[in-house]
Amino acid sequence: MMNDNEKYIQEFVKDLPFDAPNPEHRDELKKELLNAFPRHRLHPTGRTVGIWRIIMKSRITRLAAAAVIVLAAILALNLFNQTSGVVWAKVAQRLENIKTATYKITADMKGMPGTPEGYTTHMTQDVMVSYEQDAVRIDSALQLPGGTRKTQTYILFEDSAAVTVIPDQKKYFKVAISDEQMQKMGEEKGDPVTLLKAMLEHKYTELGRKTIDGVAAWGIQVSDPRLGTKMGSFISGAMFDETTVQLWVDQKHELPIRISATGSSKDGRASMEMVYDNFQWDIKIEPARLKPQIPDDYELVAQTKWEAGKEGEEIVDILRLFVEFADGKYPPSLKTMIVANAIASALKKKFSADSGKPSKELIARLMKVDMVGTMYTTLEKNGKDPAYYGDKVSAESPQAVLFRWKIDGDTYRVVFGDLKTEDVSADKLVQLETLSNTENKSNE
Amino acid sequence: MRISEDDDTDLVRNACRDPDAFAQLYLMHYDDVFRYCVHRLFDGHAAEDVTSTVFFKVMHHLSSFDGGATDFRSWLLRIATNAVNDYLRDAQRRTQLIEKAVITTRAESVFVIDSDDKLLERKALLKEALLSLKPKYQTVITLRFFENMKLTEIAACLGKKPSTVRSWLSRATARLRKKINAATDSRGSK
Repeated sequence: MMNDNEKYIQEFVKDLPFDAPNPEHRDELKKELLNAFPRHRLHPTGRTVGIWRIIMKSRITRLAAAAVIVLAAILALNLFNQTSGVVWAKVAQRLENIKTATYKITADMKGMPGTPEGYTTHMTQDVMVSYEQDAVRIDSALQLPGGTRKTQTYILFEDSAAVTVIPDQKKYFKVAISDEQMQKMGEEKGDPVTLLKAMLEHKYTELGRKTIDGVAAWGIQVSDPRLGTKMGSFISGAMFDETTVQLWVDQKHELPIRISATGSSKDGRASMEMVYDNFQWDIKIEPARLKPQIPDDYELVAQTKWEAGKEGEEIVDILRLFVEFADGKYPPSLKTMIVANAIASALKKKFSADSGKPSKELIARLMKVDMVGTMYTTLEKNGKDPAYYGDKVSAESPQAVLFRWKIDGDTYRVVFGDLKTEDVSADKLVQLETLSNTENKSNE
Repeated sequence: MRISEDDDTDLVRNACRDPDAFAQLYLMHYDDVFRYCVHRLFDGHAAEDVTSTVFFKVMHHLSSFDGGATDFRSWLLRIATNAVNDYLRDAQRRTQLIEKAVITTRAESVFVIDSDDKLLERKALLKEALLSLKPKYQTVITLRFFENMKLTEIAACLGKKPSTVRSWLSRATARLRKKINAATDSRGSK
């Protein structure tokens, strides 16, 4: 039974005219929803559980896979600066003044090292960046058939270190970063800020206006395999052969609302779809949340060092893994995913399920695999004129040039198939590479 | 053709993985969600924006929904309620919405010849009065008088006890009536 007030309201609202649904909006929204339909749900899960379990029995493979997860440590090291352009300059300016940012990354990655061929790994990352406190925290969750793997990565600019904690396993990794590298990262910070500048430095396409989650947004797109290291390993050209990035900015607030990236390897074995969203700007972040709390019973699995200016030498050290574990068969390119997959596959063959425990030194070297693509791109960016011929040269060709980069003025460091090195002039390099090409052709 | 509740339940389940099923589910419920939003916000553009937000939320969280077709509607309206309340939480936006509501309704009164001026005037009064109530009271009024839902259905939708909803509805209708009367007197005296 209705009381008087209810009867009054019912009578009052009777026959009031309201806007009817608009079929144009209904159709437009349908398109947007279908475009954004979560692709990872299209893949049936569970069919590779058996294979995955077998693979995960191997301790060394598990760690090879873990090494790639440490990529998170690099991911947040990059962001914005001022730029030219009308709307985008304003956006960059606004980002310059941001003190804190949080956002979510969702990714579907096919061909992660250590996973069965064709398997798609779903990953989410909650990222917190504080420019005031000079720190970044990334909480990652990788959904694998065998369970969800959770890690927390902290990048501590004051301590010149990146720490990745795996609470479920009571383990952690530590990457010490040289002062020079840390200063560079400090300048670039680490998230959608440098990204915008990097995108504007490349040839970009205006995508126009679109409604995203009910908000009017403007977008640009960059498809360039040379996308710089500032964009983070996952979405930079260092990771994949083909990379496309879209950036959408909230038209009203002139701040990023969504970033999406796709990447793939030429052979189609590795690919990635990634979305950055749920951005929140200038929210309060308690300092304690940006410092790792590592209990005494946690084991330091490995620690390594990332030094700027020694990229060439570090790459050689990574290639040495292929002499030790892959019979001298080098990866065909120095894209991170290609190298990581090749070494994971080699290690899987080399070590049986019950083989001995890998040394901390080996794990530390595996961690560097995450950085190989970035290192190579850094050489390119710094004008070191690098070249790599792993698709043609193996350890069985000790006279052939496998890798080279410029170390000073007119001098190049040449790495041969057997990993011996020699510093030569540019003229001598031409002779060596010509000879090397002739030998390679005669071997084909 | 009317499809059975079992078919509806299957459709909800399939919509998690199948974009076509999701599209079908979306088309079945778009009008309901839009109407609810426009009854709460009194502005077609704002209602479209919030409707978009609602369906993106539905798409991202559908895999966590484990009820049947009847529960789905309640779940959908709960998401819509939260989205509208979030939209209105911004006090400035709420003020703008009320101002815009009054202005556009007066404009409608002037330019829409075929419309009943009294109805539009009544609508303007309702907008002003309803939007000044607390969001929970706006919600129960809309669900009860525009969606014609029973107390038990509103309770299911909001995840509250029917007695709580009864109490909210009683206070909401009393306050709304008072505000409408005050606004009517105020306009009459101008």
